[in-house]
Parts: sequence; structure tokens; C-alpha cells
Amino acid sequence: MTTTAHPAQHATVFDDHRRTGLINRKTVMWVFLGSECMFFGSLIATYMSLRGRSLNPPYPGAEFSFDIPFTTVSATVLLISSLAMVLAVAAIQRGDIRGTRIWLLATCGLGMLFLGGQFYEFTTFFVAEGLGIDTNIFGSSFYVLTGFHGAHVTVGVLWLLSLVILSFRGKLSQSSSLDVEIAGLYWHFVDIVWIVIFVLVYLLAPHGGGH
Amino acid sequence: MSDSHATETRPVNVEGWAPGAFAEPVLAEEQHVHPTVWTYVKVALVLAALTAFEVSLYYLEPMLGSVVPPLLLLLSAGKFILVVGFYMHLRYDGRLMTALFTGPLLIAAVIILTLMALFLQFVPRVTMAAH
Repeated sequence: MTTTAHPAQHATVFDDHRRTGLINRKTVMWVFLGSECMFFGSLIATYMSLRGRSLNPPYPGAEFSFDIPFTTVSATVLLISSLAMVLAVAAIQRGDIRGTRIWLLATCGLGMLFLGGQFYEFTTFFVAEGLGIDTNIFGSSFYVLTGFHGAHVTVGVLWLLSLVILSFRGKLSQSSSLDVEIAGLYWHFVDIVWIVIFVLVYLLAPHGGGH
Repeated sequence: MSDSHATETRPVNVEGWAPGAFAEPVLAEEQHVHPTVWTYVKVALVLAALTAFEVSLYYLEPMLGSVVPPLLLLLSAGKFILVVGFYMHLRYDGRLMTALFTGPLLIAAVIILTLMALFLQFVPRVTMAAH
């Protein structure tokens, strides 16, 4: 069967059936974040499935406990960074480039603070607690889950820094606010993943197995 | 071959395509009103309060017992919804955006719960020895 539709008919059909009424780049970002949900979902599923199945200590409840006050500060830092990010988006939408730059830098700074905290936490677990990635199932699943989250934060920081550089070169304006908004979507996603990890990994861990 | 849905035609250019047929349209969502800065700050304060409550529950778990895990999950879900709804503007965006995100999210949640059930995470450790 051959089709001989007139181009004008094609255009009309596209108008009727192919227009979502959405911004393409933003839609693609949401699709990507949907795939990221599946990615982190698989890592969280692994961690939760293997929870409490380690045969050799250290693991939560046996010669190991999380530093909850420290992690609470880290979680709060990431939450505040989300506020800074959304204020950067609001600023660019107003056309306030200086404000955008300040809030983007604040977000980057808070992101780097979080990463520093994670580095400190990993080092402490490794050196003081003797927990390596191959020590037991807990070590493997914990480091892979939180490590991948840290890698996402690192990518986010680099992305935001690139926007700051663009702003100094005069390539960021009110008309390019979508660029900042899309970077913001990624950053907030990283934040909500930590909201879930904070509860499932840290707060729901068995108590009282401290050193 | 006729298209019964064709109700209007655009003038076509030399390449045979109607100008604007593939262009991103001016969208309703671009015109929507974003929350104010004060709203963002209020959301941040609520998020901080919920986090403080979560951590308090962690320390109160020896007294409160088995009510704590569901409460923690509920609070976490609340924080998640606040960030997605207000900071990621999903509350103000189209339903398709919501579907694109919540669809995979629900699948991920089902996978997590299924795997946990498969690995007997919902079975008390005392009875697990019988398996």
C-alpha cells in the first residue's frame, strides 16, 4: 500500500496528533529523570533486599553505627541547596543575572560541602570502622548506592559551575532561563534521592550496634 | 487517501512543509505563574521541620516502637512531594510531565517492594530460621 498524502495534510496531521503542547527540552529532562528513578530504584532495591544479610561485621547493629547527627547536617545542607537552586531559577526568570550567579554559586558551594561530608564519612567508615566495598554485602550495597548518588551530585556541581561561567561570559540571559530551570530539575532530583536514602539507609538502620 | 481529521490546512513552503509545523508552540505552561520567593522559603522551612521531626523519631524509636518506620516513610514521602511539587514545579506543569515522572517512580517502588518480599525482608527474623 502506498501513501500519497499531500504535505499540507501531513502538517495538519502533525498539528492534531503530534503536538504535546510541552517544551521539548523540559519533557526530555523529565523522561531522563524517570529513567533515573528506575536506576536509583534498582540500587535501593538491592540495598533493601540485602539489608541485614551480612555474615561478617561491621554492619548496622554489629560493631557499626551511622553518625546520625553528622548525616542530618549533610541532608540539611542538600535541602538548603535546593532552596538556593530554586531562587537561582526565580532570579533568571526575573532577568536578574547577578542574583542568578550568586544563587548558583551558593548551590555549588552547598553541593561541594555535601560532597566533602560524604568523603569524610566514607573515609571514616573505611579507616576507623574497617568497612570497605568488598568487606561484606552491607559495604558493597552501601558504597554503590551512596557513591552513585555522590557521583550525581558531582555532575550537578559541574553543570551549575558551567552555567556560572556562561553567566560571566554574558551568555546567560532571561531568554535562556530554561537552561537554568533544566539544571535545577536535575539538582532537585539529586536532593529527593537523598531524602529517600536518608530515611531508608540511615534512619531505618538498626540502633545500638555502635563501637 | 483522505484524512477525516483534517479540518484546516497551512500554506506549505518550497520544501513541502508547513512553516511552524515542528516548531515548539507558545505554551500554556510557559505562561503559568510560578510560586513567589516567599513560598519557596516557606517550603524550605517545612522541609527543615520535617527533617527535624524525622531525626527526633529516630531517637524516640526505642520508646515508640514499630510505629516509627511507617511514620518515617510517610514524612519522607511528604518531603519528596514538596520538593517535586514546588521546587520542580510539577504542581504547575502539565499532566504529561507528571505521568512521565510518576510512572517510572511507581514501577521502581513496585520493584523495591517485590525484591524485598522475595528476599523475605518482611518476614520476622525469628521465623526466618524455619525457611
